Amino acid sequence: MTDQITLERELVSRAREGDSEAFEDLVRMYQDSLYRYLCRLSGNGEDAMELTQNSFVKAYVSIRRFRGESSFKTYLFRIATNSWKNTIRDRSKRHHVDIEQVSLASAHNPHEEFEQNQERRKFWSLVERLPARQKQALVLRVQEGYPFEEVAKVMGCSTGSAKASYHHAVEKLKLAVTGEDR
Amino acid sequence: MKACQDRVRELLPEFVQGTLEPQQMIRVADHLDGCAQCVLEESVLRRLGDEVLPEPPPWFWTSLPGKITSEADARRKRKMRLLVPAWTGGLAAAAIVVVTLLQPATAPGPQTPEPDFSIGGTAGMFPLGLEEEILPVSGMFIDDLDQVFSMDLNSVPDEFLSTPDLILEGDGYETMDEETIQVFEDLIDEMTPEGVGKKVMS
Repeated sequence: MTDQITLERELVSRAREGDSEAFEDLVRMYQDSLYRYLCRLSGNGEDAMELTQNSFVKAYVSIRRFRGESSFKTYLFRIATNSWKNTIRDRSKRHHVDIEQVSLASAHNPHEEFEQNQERRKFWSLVERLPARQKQALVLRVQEGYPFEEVAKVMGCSTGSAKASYHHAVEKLKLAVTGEDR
Repeated sequence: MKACQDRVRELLPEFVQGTLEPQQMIRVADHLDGCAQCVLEESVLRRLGDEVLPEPPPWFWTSLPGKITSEADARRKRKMRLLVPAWTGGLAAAAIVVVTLLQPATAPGPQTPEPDFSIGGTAGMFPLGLEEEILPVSGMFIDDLDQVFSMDLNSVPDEFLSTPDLILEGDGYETMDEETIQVFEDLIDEMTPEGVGKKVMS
């Protein structure tokens, strides 16, 4: 982990000096995690690809303004979060998770498979409908494994606020799982 | 349904991912044995972790670094293009101001029409080229100035004819020095009983 931080700092330093190869190394270092994050936020692969590219472009253009107060990954994820927010603000229609691409449990009984499919569909539909901040907090904390302090930095809020958003999201999903949200 | 307030709850994401230290893993597992709320939360987190995301096509990753640098360069160029008109516009405005300010001092003499010293020529009635400079001031003065033009050149004081301070620009009149204006006014008052001079000054 320390090696990765050291390497990241070195690459950022070179990229700030205009070394495009160093920036390309940073892209390779974070492209998977950034794409996954944006895929979860946007709910579809095409938007995630576009947002991934845009986020890296913005980071590349503004790399000289990056002061190193957080890790480059946090900086990058914050740019990506803002890009995603701008996208959803610009769009009137909502995107939904491509349920067909969500893996299904290996149930052999067609009826059981249907039931599980319905339950899974409902669960992801609720995740998709979570308020933007709750969804961000959930994705960053659970799926990206960020500690709350980093979640707060990416979201641009206090740690307490990030925690509150996360717990609200989890409580809603718990109610959905138990069927108490009906 | 009341949420569990145990601090262990905050470790559940790492527990689900298996990234906790062994001691912490045991602590969380012990807690889960007696807390239904955290068991439920754990199941939610496991569901979230089970999500399978659509994979982008392989070409996306291979072409991404090149696309980023080319798109960034294109954006920089677009930004530069947007900046150029503002910069050149400012420069043009500054150039106009500078030229306007310098014009009286640098205005070449030859731009003034050659004085007509022939009989009936304007030079014989008024200071060199002055009538041509004043006339554009305002059409309403033309008739009055016709009376001024009929003045005898001999009655114009020498200092008025030779003054180097008689600088005409725009409407011309306000750039004369006070002494010259006074001479000019006195001359008009003297020569035009209807008070044409007052009208010129108003």
